[in-house]
Amino acid sequence: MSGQTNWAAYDVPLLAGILDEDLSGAWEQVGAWFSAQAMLDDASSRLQDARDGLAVVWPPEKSPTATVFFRLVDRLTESMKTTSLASNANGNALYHVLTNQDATKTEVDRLHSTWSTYQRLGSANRQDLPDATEWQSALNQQAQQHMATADEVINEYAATLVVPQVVPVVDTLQPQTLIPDDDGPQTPVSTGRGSSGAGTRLPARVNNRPARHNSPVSPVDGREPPILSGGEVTSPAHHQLPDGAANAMPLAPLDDSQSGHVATSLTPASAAILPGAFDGRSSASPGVEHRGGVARPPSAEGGVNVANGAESAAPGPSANTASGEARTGYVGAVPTSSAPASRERGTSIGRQGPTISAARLRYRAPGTVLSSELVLGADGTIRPMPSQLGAQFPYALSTVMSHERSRSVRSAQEAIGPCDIGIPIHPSGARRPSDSPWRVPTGGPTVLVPVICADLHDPGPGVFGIDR
Amino acid sequence: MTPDGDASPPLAIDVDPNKVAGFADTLKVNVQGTIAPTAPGLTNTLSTGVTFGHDSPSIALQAMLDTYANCLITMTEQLKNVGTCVDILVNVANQISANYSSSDQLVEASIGDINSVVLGAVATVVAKQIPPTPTGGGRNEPRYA
Repeated sequence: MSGQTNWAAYDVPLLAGILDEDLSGAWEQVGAWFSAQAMLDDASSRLQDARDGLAVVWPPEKSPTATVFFRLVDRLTESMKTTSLASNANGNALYHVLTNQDATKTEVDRLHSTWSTYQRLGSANRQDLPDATEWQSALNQQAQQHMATADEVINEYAATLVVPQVVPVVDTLQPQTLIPDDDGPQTPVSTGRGSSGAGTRLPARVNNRPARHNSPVSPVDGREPPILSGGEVTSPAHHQLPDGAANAMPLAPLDDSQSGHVATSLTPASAAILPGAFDGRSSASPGVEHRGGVARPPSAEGGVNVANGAESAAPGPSANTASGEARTGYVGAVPTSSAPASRERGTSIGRQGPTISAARLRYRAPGTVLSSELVLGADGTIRPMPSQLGAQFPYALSTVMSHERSRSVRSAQEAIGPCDIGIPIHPSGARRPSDSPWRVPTGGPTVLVPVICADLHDPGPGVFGIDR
Repeated sequence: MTPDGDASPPLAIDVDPNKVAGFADTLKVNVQGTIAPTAPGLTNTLSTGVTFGHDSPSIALQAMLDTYANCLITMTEQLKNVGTCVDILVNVANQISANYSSSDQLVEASIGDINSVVLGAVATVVAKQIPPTPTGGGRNEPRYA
C-alpha cells in the first residue's frame, strides 16, 4: 500500500518514545464507529418498516406521487445502510490497528526496559556484560522487526477503510425534475443526481438552495434584493452594515424619492470612494454613507477641500479626516463670524459664484446638501440653501474647518508630502493664526449631527385634541 | 389532475392520509428519536480528527491516517446530513398528511404538489440550521439607519 519505513535508523529508546502516546481518543473513536453503525442500522430498519407499512396503503407502483415520495425514503434508507457498513469497516480497521499498536508498544517497552537495565549495569562497570554494541544491536533489531510487523498490519487494515458517502441533503430530497406544465401524475424524470451508488463520493449540498428558490431573498425583510450591475446585492436590509462593512458595498445614487429602496445600477467604475464613513472613522477603502437605509453616493476624490480655491484628492488614511470636511449632510450650525479668515485663505466659494467644479462633485447627486447652508446645484455648482440666501453664505464651508480638523489636515499634508490640500503650513510648522479663526470647546463635537429619528410617531391632526 | 391522455381510473383508492401521518409519527419517534440523541455525541467524538500517530515516522501509518482522516470528515458530515434528511422527511410526511385530508385528494396530488412540499420542507429545515444574522435592530446595537 505504501513504501517501507527505514526502521533501521531508529533505536529502541527512540521507538519507545514514538509509541508512547495516548490512544484513548482513538479508542473512543472505535466506540463511536460501532455506535454509529448500531444507530444507523436501527434507524434504517425502522425507516424501512415504516416505509413498507405506508407502501401497503399507498403503493408506489400505482401512484406517481407515491413513487416520488418513496424514492426519497429509499434513498435515505440506502444511504443509512451504506454508511452503517462503512462505520463497521472503519471501526473494525481502527480497532485492529490500535490493538496492533498496543501490542507493538508493549513489546518495544519490554525491549526498552531491557535496554535501560543494560545501561544501568554498564554504568556500574559490570564485567560480565556483553559489549554494548552487541546488546544494543540485538535489541534494536528486535524492535525494528516489531515495527515492520506493525506496518504490515496497518497496511492490511488500511485497505479496509471505507470513506462514507455523504448523502446530499438537497439533491437527495429534491425529488424530480418536472416536465413543464405538469399538473398531474406523470412519469418522473430523474435528475441524475443524488444517486447513492457506490464509488462516487458526492459532496454535501446542505447550503444549496432548491432550483425553485433561485432568487435570493433578504433574510430580514423577505424581499428580493435588487441586484447591482456589479453583481452585488443591495437592499435596505443589506444597508444596515456594521462599521467598516460599508467599504465593501456597491454604491447606489441618492434617490430620496424611493425612501429606503435604491436599486439603481452602478458600475464598479462609478463606485467612488468617500473617505470617512458614516461613523466618522477614517477609511481609505471604498465606502458609502448610509442614512435612513439609503446608500449615499460618495464623492470621487475623497471629499472636497475648498481652501485656496482648489480642491484636491487627499489620498491616504491621514488625509481622510481632511476629506471628511465635505461629508454631506452632517454639518450643523455653522458660525459665520470667521468670514475674514476664510477669505484670507482664498476660499473660492463665494456668494457670486462657487467654483468647485461639477467634475469634482460628479458623484454627488444634484440637490445634495453640502452643509446647513449649501446645496449642490443641478449644474454641479454649489448654491446656497434656499433658507440661507442672504446669510453669510460664502464662508459656510470654511466654517466647517474647526480647530481640530485643521490640525488633522496639516498632519495629513505632512504625511503625504507637498500637495495641494488647501491649508498652507508655515515653514516653521507653527499654525498661522488664520488657521484657527475660531475655537471650539475641547472634547466637544466639532460637527453637530442632526438626529434623524425614523420611528418618530406623528399622531397627526385631530388626534388627542391636537388641532392642526 | 391526470396527465394528458390518461383515461385510466383512479390509481389507488385506499390511500389514507392518516397513514402518512402515522408514517411521520413513526419517523419522528423511532428514526428521529434514535438519531437525534445519539448523533451529536458521535459527531463530537469523530470530529476530533486523528488523535494518534502524528509523530510516527511510519509511512504505512501516515498513509492509513490520511485515509482515516478523510473517513472522519465525511462521516461527521454524513451524520449531520442524515439527521437533516430525517427532519425533512418528517416535515414532508406531516405536510402531506396536512395538505390532503382525504384519500381522494391524496390520490389526485400531482408530482408538482409533492415536490413543492419537499422543497418547502428542505427550505424549512435548512433555514433552521442557518444561524440568524444580526439585523442591527437591537436596542443596544448601533443604529445604522
